[in-house]
Amino acid sequence: MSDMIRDDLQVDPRLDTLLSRALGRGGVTREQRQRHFERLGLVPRLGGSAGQWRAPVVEGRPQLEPTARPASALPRRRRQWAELAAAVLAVILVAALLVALFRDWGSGGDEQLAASREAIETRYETRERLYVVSHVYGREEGFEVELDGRVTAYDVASGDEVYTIDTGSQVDAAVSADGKRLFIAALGAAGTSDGLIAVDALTGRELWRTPLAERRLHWILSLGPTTLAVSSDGSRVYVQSTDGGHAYWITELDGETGAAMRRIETNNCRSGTFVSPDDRTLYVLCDGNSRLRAIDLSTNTDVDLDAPTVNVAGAAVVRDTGLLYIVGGNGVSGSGVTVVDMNARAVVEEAGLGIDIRPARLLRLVALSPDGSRLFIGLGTDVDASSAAVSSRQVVVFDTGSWQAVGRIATETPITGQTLAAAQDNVSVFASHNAFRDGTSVSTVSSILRLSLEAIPATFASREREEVLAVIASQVDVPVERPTPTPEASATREQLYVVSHELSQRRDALITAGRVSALNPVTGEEFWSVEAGQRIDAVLSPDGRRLFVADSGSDGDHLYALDTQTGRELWRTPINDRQWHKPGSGQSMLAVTDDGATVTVYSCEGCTGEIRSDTGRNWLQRFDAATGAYQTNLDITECRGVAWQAPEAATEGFRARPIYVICDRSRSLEIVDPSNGQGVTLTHDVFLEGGFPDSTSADAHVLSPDRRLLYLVSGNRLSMIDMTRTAATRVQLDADVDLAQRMPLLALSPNGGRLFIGSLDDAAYAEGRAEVGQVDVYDTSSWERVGQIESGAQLTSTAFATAVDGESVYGVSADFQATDDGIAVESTIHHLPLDGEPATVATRTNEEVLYLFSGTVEVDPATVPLPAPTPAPAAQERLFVVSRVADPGGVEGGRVTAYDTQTTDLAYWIETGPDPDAVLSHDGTRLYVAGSDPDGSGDILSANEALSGEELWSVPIHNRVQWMGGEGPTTLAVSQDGTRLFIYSTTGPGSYAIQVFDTADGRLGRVIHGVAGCVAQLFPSPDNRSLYVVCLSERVAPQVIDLETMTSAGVLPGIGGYVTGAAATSDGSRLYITHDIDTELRLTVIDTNGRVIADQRDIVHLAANPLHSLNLLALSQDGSRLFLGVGEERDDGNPVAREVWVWDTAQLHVGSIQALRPLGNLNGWSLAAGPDNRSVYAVQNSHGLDPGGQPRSTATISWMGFDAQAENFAVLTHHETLRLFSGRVSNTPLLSESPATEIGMVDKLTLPDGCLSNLVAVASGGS
Amino acid sequence: VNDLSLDRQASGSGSRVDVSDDAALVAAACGDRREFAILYERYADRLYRYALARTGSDAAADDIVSETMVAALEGIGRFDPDRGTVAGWLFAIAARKLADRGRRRSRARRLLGRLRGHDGADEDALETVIRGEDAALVRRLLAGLSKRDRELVLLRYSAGLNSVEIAEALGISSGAARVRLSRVLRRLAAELGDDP
Repeated sequence: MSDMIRDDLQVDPRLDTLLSRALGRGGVTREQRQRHFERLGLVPRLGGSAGQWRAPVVEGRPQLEPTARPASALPRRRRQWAELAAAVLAVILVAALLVALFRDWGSGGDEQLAASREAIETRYETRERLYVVSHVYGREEGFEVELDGRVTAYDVASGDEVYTIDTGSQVDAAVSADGKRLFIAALGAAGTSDGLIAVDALTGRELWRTPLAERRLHWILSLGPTTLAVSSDGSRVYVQSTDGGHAYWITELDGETGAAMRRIETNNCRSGTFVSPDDRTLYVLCDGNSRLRAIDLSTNTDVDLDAPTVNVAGAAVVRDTGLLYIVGGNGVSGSGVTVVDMNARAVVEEAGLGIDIRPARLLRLVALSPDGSRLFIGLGTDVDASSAAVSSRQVVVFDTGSWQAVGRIATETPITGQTLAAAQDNVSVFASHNAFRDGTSVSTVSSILRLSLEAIPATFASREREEVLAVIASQVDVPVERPTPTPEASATREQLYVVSHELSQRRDALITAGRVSALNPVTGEEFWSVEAGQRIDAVLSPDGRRLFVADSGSDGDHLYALDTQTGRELWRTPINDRQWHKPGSGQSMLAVTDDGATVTVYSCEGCTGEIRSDTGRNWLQRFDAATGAYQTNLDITECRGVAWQAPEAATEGFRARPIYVICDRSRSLEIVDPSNGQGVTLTHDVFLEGGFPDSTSADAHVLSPDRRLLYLVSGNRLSMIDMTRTAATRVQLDADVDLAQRMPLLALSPNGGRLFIGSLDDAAYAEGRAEVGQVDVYDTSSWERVGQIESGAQLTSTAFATAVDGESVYGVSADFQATDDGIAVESTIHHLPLDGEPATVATRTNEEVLYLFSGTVEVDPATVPLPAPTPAPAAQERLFVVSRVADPGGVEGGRVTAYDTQTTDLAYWIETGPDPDAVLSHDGTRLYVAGSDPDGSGDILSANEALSGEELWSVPIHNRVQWMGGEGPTTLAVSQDGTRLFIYSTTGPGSYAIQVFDTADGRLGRVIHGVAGCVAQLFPSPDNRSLYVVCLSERVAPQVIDLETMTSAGVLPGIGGYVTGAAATSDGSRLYITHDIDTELRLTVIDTNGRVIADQRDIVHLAANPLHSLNLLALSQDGSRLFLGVGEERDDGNPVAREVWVWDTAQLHVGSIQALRPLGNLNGWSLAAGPDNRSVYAVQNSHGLDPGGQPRSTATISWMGFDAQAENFAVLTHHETLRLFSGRVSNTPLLSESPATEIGMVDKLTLPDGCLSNLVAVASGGS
Repeated sequence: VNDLSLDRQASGSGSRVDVSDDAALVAAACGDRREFAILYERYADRLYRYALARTGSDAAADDIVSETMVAALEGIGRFDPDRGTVAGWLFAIAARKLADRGRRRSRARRLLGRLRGHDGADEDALETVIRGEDAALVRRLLAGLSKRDRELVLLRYSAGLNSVEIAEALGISSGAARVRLSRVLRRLAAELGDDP
């Protein structure tokens, strides 16, 4: 090795040589190297060796001016055009137009597309919540009053009371960092004792309630710090406990079940508890010695924390950063703040606050703005707490960067509640005031105050006969119905909007003014026309009701909105620093958000108008689309170009909705996280892997009508990026030509079902003419090319839009003529249908058309009732739960439980003994159950009537594979014709087989050897010829068993990576497999009869990961939707799914994905589709201790669907759910059948364990 | 990165390259992706051998090399030559990828481990990579090492890293890497001394 590695390490030469020879050989093969280079975007150098590679070089685009022929040889008209094109369209970019956006959801479209739309209708938006914790004063008797507790949830934006939860006294509450769960502790919440209640923070629905075995700390009049703390994901709750004397500690409870987990000693500290975001450390403030203690939660030991001793006045946490701010002081001059990084377990800053403050010590009047930039401290006088006379009339606000006071908020109404709660606007806080009747302690009315740096203090809400103890700020994800597509009214009309500029014939002012017109696309009739300024830019609102226009006039730049029905100007606002592209480039610098509420203008301060400068500050100006009012701006630090903000929806991985920018020069995609108002650019590298493996540039782009999907064409590869998820799907377009060379124009049909790609035809390309002569039409479900439009006319403009019918496009050809005075142009707008003859819509003289948009407007705004909702599911739909029973007494068993999913009633259960398993026959008549005999005599297979659970027959079986504790995928499968039952089995060390049973009587028919050994699941084909063995969590392709020869037919080629999930349609014809290709998710659909891959899609998912070790994949019964659990693989080897993605199987791209959010983390091995094809059942198993300290496993089956929040379906105590499946059972009772024992088969044999080979011989010979 | 000015064999082909320009190559690749190809050629085989020794699976090693290279290319702008060597950086990425892979497979492996009749398909990965006429001897030598010590040996002899680079790959100090490696090799040499 010394000749390989030169350092001064002394190595025995013999050993060096020995190890070098044994370990230092081998390397990647040429084929592997080739694949790696393809993935890295590198290509081999022509004629080069393996060591010579280069990156692809993007070839130059066709010249706009003809080069093959001398200019003089061109016809006069064309030469003139070419000259002008060089001047006016010199930078006709490769990207396509912002497509016209339509509100025509109700018209046309096939059922598949309708289903897709339906799938994306329900989204979530984040709403600000304020929880008010209060004591309610009841009946008075003398000086005594009945006291109860209450928690009220407010929606901050509307001020509406969302729900109220009444509970016992001494109430306290805390919210999980994700805002999903609200925990309430109160005396009397569990009988007369202290109890803890977990609540769905969104709805106020109680999830569970448990008595607290240990006494909770009660502060006098509840005027102390909170007694609760919650881990970041809500999985643990920490409750301050006491013996009623002077001993204090913390009790840890399971946030999913309420089970007490352990006691954490705090050395009697009790003045506030905080959990680090990584859930590794618990911090407790000590009021006795004013210290902060840190406790390692894994070891339950103290962490050395060099925190100073301060007279603690309060503390607050910035959740995202995990910084804990402790405000304290030792008198007038000693006030300061200590900042602790809770993850790093270190004091990261100590600062004096620079002014004399005296925090209201016994109130927790400290709050941090959500962005961490401001610290709010309520000032007051320390007065005897028992008199409840502590109050604060002033809140001072510090900048946490400079620790300078940046404002004081004075309030006439004193703050007497315990807490401040920072609002999401980062400039205001909520506080409370309790007014007491003179001479008594009975509250009459309390107020919740909103104190802002930018507004006069105001009363947010009032509470009668309540004393507000605390206010808690949080956020919650609320499902919102996307704006319901307006059904097409009887009287609507299509309008074609033409945005153009006029060309003057004077040479010194070629472009003089802009114009916006609305035309009848059939007759060319002009409905209205509006004159505009130069450098006109425009975008249509998603609902088609408004056209937003930016232009430049003698009085500067303006942004304004036009009513598309009348052309009337709705509002107008001046703007500065607007950027624009060269007219005719097709690049709009305007964008509108998916909800139509905000218009975004790309701007550059210090640039020179037209987007060219490399210097200056790039930013987006945002305006209220309804009023034109300026809202805010967002910095973009890197590239400049057309930009969109991701739709108002979940955008995992980003704190704020990211900005997508198609960069002007590189044509690459940048994603900007605008959190905290500071642009943070994520380079396009994040998409190199999935989006542009061959090139970093986008040749053309178009937005989907709902503004959710961004389609990018790079060469002939198309990427669909779901901007709400930062995920992309790629497909290879079946184009005849290299689109990168053909200047593609893109347009999407209003329902997203058709993508139109215009490109230079061969003649134009060969002659270097920038004239689009053909339009290819792709079906966005199959990505097959479904047609081609020969335009007849040569489209010379980048203006390109689909018609409302979704089956045709509009394009423009322009004829430029040189005149004695300058240039004359005549633009012709063409209607190009997929089926039918092209037609001319209109001709515009002296106008160059820049943009086209198509949409409908209401002539008669009559409404049409929406279709009735889907009927309720049929009564015979069942959910089957296979569970392991873990009895507290140590007895283990198994059970298969059947639920009626319509009534949620328990239909029946079957005790199975340990290692249970079950499968339903495809006709819904039979439920086959496998289990082990509790007496240890072996395994048993039974056939049961699926309707009633009554046993039809049972036989002993041997050598079926048993997963650890029964956990794992099912080992059973039934043939589609119902005649055979397959059991995945082992025949000895390293040898696997499939046993085939006759379902008539349980007879073992055949044993198939040579089966892959893995965590396998079996899928039979409908023609009963093939059986697929899918290995989960393995990098093994599915094996096909030929059921006619009962031998392996080999593995299915074309499936790589680690298989993460498998599910089949109910008829077995399609098998869906998810696999992880180098951390990308690939979805493969197998035609099980044909033994071929029917479809394959790559999904780039930055936000979530497919889970390798859970088979969280399910198909709805009608096959229309695919459900996939996504989450994280945890270091402890126990993965959890945090949400369920739902695909529309008709389209299979990220655009059809909707996320369903479970109540908690999912960790079961399966999902089961709901009977309505729109929902899914999932499992959460939790393990802990019951109040008596005994081990307790709890299986929570939850349901989640498109139409409602997730909710618990069933909770099985002392159970661990192993598998779920659903199906429709037959209502027809089966005739009794002869059990196998009566016809004398396998059960009469006595065989030792693990000798299936013997069994095979007997069975085969015996038959 | 240039401190060591090391020469080392780039691959099994026996060609010799100067790695002192590693940092320059990274810088060049920041501006021109094609330059990354040279880095790939320089390190792919060594990454592969290391991954193969860790996983025992050709397919997995193939994946690890691919994932490592893609991650390196994506993050090439973040490589800081003042903080370490290119080799240490690349192998640290590979080590993380291997750890991720281990997490992904852990539950399935647990299931298989309890599977009746299962013979432990995840046999010692090293068994599959030790080659040559002295394979049995090397197997015996390495069998006595802890997992941590084996890792050191692999990084040195499969990946061809020196002690500084090993330290960077493992996130430990170079002194610790050097001392640990010396001890391991001395122990192996002592065991070897008894062999004919």
